[in-house]
Amino acid sequence: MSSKAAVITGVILGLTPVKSKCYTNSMASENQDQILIDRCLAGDSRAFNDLINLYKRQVFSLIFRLVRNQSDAEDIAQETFIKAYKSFASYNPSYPFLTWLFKIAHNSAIDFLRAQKPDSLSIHDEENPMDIEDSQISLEEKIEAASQQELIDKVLGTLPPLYREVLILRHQQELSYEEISKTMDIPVGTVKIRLFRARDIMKQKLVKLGYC
Amino acid sequence: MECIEIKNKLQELTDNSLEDQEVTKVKNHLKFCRSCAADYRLLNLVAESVKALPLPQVSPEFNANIFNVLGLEYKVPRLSPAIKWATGVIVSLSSIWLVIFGLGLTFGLNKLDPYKIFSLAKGFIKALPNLQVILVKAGLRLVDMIDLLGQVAVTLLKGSNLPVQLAIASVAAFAIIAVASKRIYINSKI
Repeated sequence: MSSKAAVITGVILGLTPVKSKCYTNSMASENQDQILIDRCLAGDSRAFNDLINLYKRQVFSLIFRLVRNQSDAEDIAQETFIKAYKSFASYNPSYPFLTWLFKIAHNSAIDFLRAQKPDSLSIHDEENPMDIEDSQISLEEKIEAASQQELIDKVLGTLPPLYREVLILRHQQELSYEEISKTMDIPVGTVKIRLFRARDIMKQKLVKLGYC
Repeated sequence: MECIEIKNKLQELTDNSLEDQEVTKVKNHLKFCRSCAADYRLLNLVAESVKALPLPQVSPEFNANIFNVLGLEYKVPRLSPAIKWATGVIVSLSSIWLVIFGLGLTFGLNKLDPYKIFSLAKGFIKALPNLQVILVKAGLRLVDMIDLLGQVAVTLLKGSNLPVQLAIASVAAFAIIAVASKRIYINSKI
């Protein structure tokens, strides 16, 4: 089979990448991210569009769980990509792109929350997590929650934003302690403490709701 | 190990950050300690539920808004509705052809006569009760189209024997489905 025929067969069977295609998450290796960033820097706006399509849901999800408002979360997610686009020139390729993007998203969301409610970011005494205000889920809310998933989401919503964030980064985005540390700009030890306490609070709230 | 010590290790177990030796010790303890096992179940429930939280959808204008703020030209190729419909029809016809080919392989290629299949399908639709007149009419038009396409294909391939005709048509059908599916997938990601 000639090489041209092999390429055509590959394209038909979806084995060979075609020009101007979008990339699936599984294909989006760091190398491909770098290629897309290089294309962005060269002025290729379609590459930027591909990057947005690759990561917008993950970025939006993190911000949405932090600010708990669809419209605000979308504004902040857009701001995140705008800031990223303007900072591509200073992006360090040794840093995973998604972690870098999450760091920008984290900073933007924290700025927003700080401006909205300065005390909303407080997690009181890190050494005494039980001081955290216990915002209860009412019985009505429990009944309203159609599924266990919805209930968990509601319980998650009662946690301070920084605890919510660490849980999302660890379990939904599956970041390592080190990656979370870079994203949130805190030491690895603090990541572990926050993660442990966030899960502990969730656990206690679930026990109160009858899960045991 | 005591329960207090185990409870401290459960979080690390949830995070898969325990040493292998400790994992064995903790898991052995969980086998007979109900309280620690319940704690571990809850921690896992939290971890799994957070993991399974749905990723919310962004609005369709999300990308365009970013491009607008940055002053970039936003031109993403989108398939027009006409092309989408045409692709759907071609994929459907190709799928039908693959089913026919499959039946041919099952019952013997030499017994497969496209004309007989089309007339059988036509007869089946005609035999439907009058209550579904509209559906029947639509169905008949579809069958007529397939009939016509079949006649064209057979005329084009006249001369070669049936297995070769079927093989060529099936490869073409598979290629059409593969390309169309890929186009639809790419379009859905935009």
